[in-house]
Amino acid sequence: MGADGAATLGSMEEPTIRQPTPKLCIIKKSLILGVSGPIGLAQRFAGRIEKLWAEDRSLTGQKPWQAMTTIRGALWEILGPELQVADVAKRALGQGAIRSAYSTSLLAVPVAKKTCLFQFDQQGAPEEATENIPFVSIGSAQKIADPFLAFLRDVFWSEKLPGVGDGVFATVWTLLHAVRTNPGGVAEPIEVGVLRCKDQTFEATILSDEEMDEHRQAVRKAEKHLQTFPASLQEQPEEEPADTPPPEPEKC
Amino acid sequence: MLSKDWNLLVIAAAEGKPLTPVQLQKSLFVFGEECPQATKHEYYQFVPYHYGPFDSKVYQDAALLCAEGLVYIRPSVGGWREYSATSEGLERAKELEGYLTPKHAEYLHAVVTWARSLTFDQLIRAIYKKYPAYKVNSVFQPQ
Repeated sequence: MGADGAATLGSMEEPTIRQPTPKLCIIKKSLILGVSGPIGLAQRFAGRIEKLWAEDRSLTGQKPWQAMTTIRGALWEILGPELQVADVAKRALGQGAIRSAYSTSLLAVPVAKKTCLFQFDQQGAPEEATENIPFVSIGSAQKIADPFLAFLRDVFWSEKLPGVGDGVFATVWTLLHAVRTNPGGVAEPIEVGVLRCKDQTFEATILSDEEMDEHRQAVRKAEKHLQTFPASLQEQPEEEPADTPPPEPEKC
Repeated sequence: MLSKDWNLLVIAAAEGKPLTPVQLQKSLFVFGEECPQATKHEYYQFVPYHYGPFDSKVYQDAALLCAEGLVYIRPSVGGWREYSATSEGLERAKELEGYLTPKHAEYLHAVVTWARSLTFDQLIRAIYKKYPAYKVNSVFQPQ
């Protein structure tokens, strides 16, 4: 799961400033939550999911469809009243009043001994990412991220699912692309969270900036590779030099 | 010799020129693999990761060296960090080199020169070819 690092502050429909902020939240070292929309809603969702995770130990044993229904119920405790308030406020304040109740969320969570990615829309309606639709994006950059992710999937993973490293690579490339091309409000620092199963224990972590640096280098290499494509149609490509192995030590 | 001393030696072997993250990681890895006698006391524990051998402590040590004024960490045009030795770092590395055998010192310079001569993909490919065990968690695994 990835996110840019820009929070837009403002009042009603008028944005004021942009501030750098982390957007992914690790819950109990086992879940990753990303929320687009008001930061206050994200904070409350994180608190509610943490409480649910601590109290309802049956969640991990449920089937994914059951678990996402349970989580939706918890989120609705927050969303339902907010949507009702927004409906009333809209009559006095106009359409902008709905903004404080409008959010979408992504949750990476271990369920039934596997990693699941659930999306919750503006009403909290859940959907699980599957092998058929293995990626999902939310928020203001969704219009950029969706087609770009589909392009990457077509090029690299039309025949199989990406591995964890591939997923990080695709996420970093998509975020960098969105940061470069968005009309405003999507910016560095980007962050990526990974939910892994290690020795039968699930562990959610945010990658360090340094861990992402190798992916940034790989993305640049991939873009350079594409840049040379037009020339390859016009000229005979230079023969690649043979790989140079590391130097041999003299009996170290 | 501490792991951060090896880190400084590798960064300084580029003589003030920058190393990319991959060049830094892979130079330290190759040196450790090929000169285990030199690095047997305190060194990095590389594990197979998305682009081959990786230890996040390499970057933690580089950050310590930066805080000590021995290494610059600067953003590159591409957005990743690059690592180069300050003049104090080069001096300190000269002192540290005094603890190495001439063969180890020579090899360390040879590895860094080799890593700096390769592009990102050439370097990754060369590592995978010589140390295939570190390919297991790589991005773009073949079918």
